[in-house]
Amino acid sequence: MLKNPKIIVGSVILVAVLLWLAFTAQEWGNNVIGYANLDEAAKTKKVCYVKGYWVKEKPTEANANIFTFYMKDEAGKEARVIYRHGKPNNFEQATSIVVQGKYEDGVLYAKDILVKCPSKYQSEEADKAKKL
Amino acid sequence: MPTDSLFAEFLTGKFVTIFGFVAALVATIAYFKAAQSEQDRVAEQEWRAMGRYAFLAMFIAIVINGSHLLYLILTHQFQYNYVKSYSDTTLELFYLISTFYAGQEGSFMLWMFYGALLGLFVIRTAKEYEAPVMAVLALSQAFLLSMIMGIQVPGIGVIGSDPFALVMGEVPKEGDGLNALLQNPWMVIHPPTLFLGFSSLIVPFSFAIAALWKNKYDDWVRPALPWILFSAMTLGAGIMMGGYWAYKVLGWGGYWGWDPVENSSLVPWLMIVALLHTTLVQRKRGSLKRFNLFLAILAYSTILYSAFLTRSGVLGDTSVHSFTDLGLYNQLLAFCLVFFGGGLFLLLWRLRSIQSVQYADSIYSREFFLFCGSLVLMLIGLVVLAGTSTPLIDQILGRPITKIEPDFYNKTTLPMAIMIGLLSAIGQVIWWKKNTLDNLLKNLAIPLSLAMAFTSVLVIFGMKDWGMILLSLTAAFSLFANGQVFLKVARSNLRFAGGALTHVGVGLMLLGIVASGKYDESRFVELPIGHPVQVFGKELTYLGIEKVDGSKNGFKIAVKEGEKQHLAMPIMYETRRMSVQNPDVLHEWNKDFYIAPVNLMRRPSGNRLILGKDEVQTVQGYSIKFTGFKMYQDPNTLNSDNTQPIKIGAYLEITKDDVVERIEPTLTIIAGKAPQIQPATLQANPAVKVALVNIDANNRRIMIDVEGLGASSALPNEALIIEASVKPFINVLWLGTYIVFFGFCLSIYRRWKERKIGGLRQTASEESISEGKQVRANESVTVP
Repeated sequence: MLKNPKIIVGSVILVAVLLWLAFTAQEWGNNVIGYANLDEAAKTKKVCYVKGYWVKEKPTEANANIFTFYMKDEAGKEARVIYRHGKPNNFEQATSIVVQGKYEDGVLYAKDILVKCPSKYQSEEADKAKKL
Repeated sequence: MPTDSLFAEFLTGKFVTIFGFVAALVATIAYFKAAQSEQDRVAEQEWRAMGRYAFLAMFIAIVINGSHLLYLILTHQFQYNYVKSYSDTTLELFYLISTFYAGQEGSFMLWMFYGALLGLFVIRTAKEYEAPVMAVLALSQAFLLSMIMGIQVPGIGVIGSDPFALVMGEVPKEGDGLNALLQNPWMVIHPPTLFLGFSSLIVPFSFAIAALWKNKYDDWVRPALPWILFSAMTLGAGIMMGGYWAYKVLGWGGYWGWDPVENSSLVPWLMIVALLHTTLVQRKRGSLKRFNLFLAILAYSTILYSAFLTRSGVLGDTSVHSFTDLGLYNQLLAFCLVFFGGGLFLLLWRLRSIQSVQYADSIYSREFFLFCGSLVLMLIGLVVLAGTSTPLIDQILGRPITKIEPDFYNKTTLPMAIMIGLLSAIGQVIWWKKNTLDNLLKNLAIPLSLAMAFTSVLVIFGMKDWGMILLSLTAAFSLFANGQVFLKVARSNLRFAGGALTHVGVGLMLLGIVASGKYDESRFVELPIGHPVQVFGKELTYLGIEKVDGSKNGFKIAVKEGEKQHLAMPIMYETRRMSVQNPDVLHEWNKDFYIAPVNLMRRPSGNRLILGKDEVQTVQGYSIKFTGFKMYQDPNTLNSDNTQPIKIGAYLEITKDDVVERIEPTLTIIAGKAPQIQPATLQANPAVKVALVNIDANNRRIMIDVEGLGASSALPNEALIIEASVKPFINVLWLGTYIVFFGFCLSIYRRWKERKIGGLRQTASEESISEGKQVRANESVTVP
């Protein structure tokens, strides 16, 4: 029975799928991003989302390839943010920002900056009007 | 009279919806009865007739509602909330019509319209399957209609969201307008195509339920097959249109972001394509019956799950796309659970009575490869579904909300994509020829060698990543193998070559994705106005701003390569809600040169200083000391609502070469407008101007611009920052998508012509073709 090619192939397939599922589970853990404030981000070594606000008063510098500014998270702590890309166009009008990045040595190295503008979705006002 | 108009409103909006809902329910029950009355022909016919009339009534109600909404939109009736929220008077007709499906209610209406239309088609063509299939379809319509009802039910709450709801208070004179990102031709055709794909999945689902109901599992795949093909084609086309739009309009340089909205339409597509493959196995061998029933149920259920994820608000902050919560959470959940739960329950209930042929074929059979292909597609679907549902899973488990990074999907689907290349290469060749190992190797020799040669070239050119090398190898293998099959079959029997052509397209798509996804390069570049800058082999010169369409800013960039010159114009503008960046893409045969605008920098042409009280800073020999503020308004006389202009001056002491001068630049702040700056000029050197740009009264600090001190910076004061990228061979990807589409068309054509012929006859035709004979559509082929 063991010589039956179908059994062999079947088992190979089963093992391959299980290995792949294990790989998937591992990648899941590696790629999960949670929300955190700066203190929590400092403790974990991974990429997090930090919600907060741009600190207008502190030095802000924008060049083609690097954008640095200071942000304050929801707990009130401030940190310098370094973003190795150009400044997002609507950064200054943002009511709040979410920085996706890794916090190392007192600096938040940003991979992405999500900018929340005053009225996010098209129908937000419409729905407020509808809710009697 | 208010009550009269309220009544009129009710009559034309909600009433029609409720009427349609009731009609759908009547149709469901009538068809249910018809399906149960197989023994009593008279009763069956009567119930079926009632079902048809009820369905027709529902169809008319849907058309009335749809036409009504369209009419309201076209006549700019902003007293209706929906019309106000999504349209305005400035939209062209094309975009104005598209506002119909800009919001959730409208897209539900589109979905149910398609469902009704397809239902009529099913009534005409389903013959003995009509009753059970339509019972399920009508039930789905009833659920959809309930989504737009907007009535208050005591004890339960509000059901549905009424598209005909009125605005409270005064009638608005102007609407909010269509989201700028949706004002693009691709975005106009993408939702209708996508929704057609979505709604068509109810048909295979209903056929599967009908099979379970009637306890007959062999034949349902025959009438269902053209529908499965149709769904796969339209849904696939809709998805790719979305990708193309993202690439051309959104300006982030990509076409697929693994965003929940994208993922949740991809998963059903994977399921229906998997079903497509295993249906063919069932037709030939009679095996995989339970598997096919499960897949058909899964395909529509994943659409309902997708609607739930994207429309219920459960994804919240984690997706840019998720629509606002209209309070439909419970209804969408119910929709999903009833259909998936019901289908699964039926399947498990009937499980033992399904006689499926045990898998007896050799490994080198087309059935085995088809099954493996389906398996791979399902696994991809599983992993995408799981990743996308992460926020939901977090909520259920009570954990803080997390999100999955796109890289997860890229990494986990890569091995699967490699398998797709491999399986589709071998599978297609096996499809057409008798299967022994020797035979197989002989037929695969040429495509395999070509693929290896191709991949070696890539490695020589610098490809190092093992994953990419393997993927390129199998994708090229599939491309050449399917190309070989296509050429052989198409010469004599074009309509049978659809499968081969589609897989040629898939191979091209994979190669295009490898090239443009992995090997694209991008750089952020600063283009000072008038200064040429070298980027990726081209010379870019930013020329300035030109107004486009009224208030949008077009940034003119001259692109020069050798002798050729081209004017690119990416666009940036702000609307009330957001900032829009449209890229400009230069298409060449072997790459796309992609220019995305990022930011316009305006540097002050002098020096900007921040001074605290009594602080001195020196620049170019001038010492500047900030000695105090001057308030031009008595603080006690200020209005409480701050509407008065407030003028403030800053006392500055400028010292150069022991000459002291006192000047006072001023700043006037007006609520709601940009502050007015009144600079002060030095008497000693009139070229020097000091402007008060900003003040920080609490910390007693000021920000000033000092101009005219001489060349302090050689850079001009206006520069455009762009992200320039090169996307190699992305045209291969688009070409692949078109070829996939044509392949589907060919297959649909073939299967439609053969819809009355049984599975065995079809296989016999294929065997004739593989021997080089020509087969005409209605030729009777002797069945061995």
